[in-house]
Amino acid sequence: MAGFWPRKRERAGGEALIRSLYEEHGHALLAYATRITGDRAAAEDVLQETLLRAWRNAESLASGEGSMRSWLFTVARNIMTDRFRAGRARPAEAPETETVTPVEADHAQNVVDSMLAYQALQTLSDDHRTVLVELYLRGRSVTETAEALGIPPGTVKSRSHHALRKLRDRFGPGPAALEGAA
Amino acid sequence: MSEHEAPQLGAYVLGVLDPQERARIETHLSTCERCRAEARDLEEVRDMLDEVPPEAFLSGPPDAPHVLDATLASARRESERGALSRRMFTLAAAIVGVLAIAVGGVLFGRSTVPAPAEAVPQVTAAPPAEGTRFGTAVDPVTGARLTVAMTPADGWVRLNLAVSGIPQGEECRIIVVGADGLREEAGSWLVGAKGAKDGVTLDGAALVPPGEVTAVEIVNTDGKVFVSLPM
Repeated sequence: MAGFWPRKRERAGGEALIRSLYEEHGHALLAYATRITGDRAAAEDVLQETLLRAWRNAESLASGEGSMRSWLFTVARNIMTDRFRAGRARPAEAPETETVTPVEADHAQNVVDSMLAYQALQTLSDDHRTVLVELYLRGRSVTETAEALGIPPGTVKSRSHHALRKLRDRFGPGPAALEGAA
Repeated sequence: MSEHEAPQLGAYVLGVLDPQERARIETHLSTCERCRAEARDLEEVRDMLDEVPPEAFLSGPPDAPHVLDATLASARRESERGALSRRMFTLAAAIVGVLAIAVGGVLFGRSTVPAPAEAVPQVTAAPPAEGTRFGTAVDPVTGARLTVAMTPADGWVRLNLAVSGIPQGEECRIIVVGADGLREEAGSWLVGAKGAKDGVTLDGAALVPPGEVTAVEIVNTDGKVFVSLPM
């Protein structure tokens, strides 16, 4: 006897959560899943399942846009990895599962790494992060980045340097490790 | 560093300098060990950025309103089927989570539990706690890869690790190296078929003051070091 009102209220809150996650993160998640699966329909399925899992875990979701996105990407990737493995385990269902096979075999071991790197990026100041995202992750040139951000090219370069240094200080192994690994 | 090429090295390792600038940096690097070391440092960071999916920087809704509709419909059906049981499930999950933390962190402070696959999102869901340090190392000889997130506690550390590239059947220990060569075990496990193939995520804890941790190592019971990560 949960009663009418609490259930209705809960439903409205859950729907609002799904809508806001879709609005904020849907494009990123769908593009990501499309690249990994190589299949738009499979990717839409992954997006739906990811949003549903977020909704089911609404009480324990982390606040903050960066960690939210990191959580969603990790969940999406796990869903794809699981389906890939399930598909491989049952080769009889070839036509359906073939579409999901482009998941790289080493995905699982990269999950923690990639999202740690993403979260480390979130700890940078906006100025530093934006320069790295534009230059490296979006593949823009120094000139394009300078124009997009309205700052001189020299500043783009020095900021990218300081941003990498900050990440290095927070993130990377010490110089000894590099010597040892070389 | 101003007499060196330091401010340009970021753009250099990101590969965004024009050919002339690039050539000038390379000439300088050929004679300057200090800048070479700096460039190597930055390349390591750049390689970590390579792991980040570029789509993580897109924003806005996708062009797929039918997915939103289907998701909402699914959620509605699910919530009507089990508004109560879902709440119970969430409560149970929360209790399990709290127990896991209590057991992992307090009772068996030095044990290690292989985290199930579903635990991965929980690990990364929480924003990094204050003072959390990250690191990754790949051993060029053994090929073992270790990624560590180390969170300071009061006089000790919590670890979250991803380990891969270790052959099946190896009995491994997580060693936290502290001041004066102190070596504290933070857990141990046996590499299974799945762990050998896909790697494994582990949680551990060690009684080493956060400020004194100098390295985290994965060694086997014979003392062979698979990978060592300076912290």
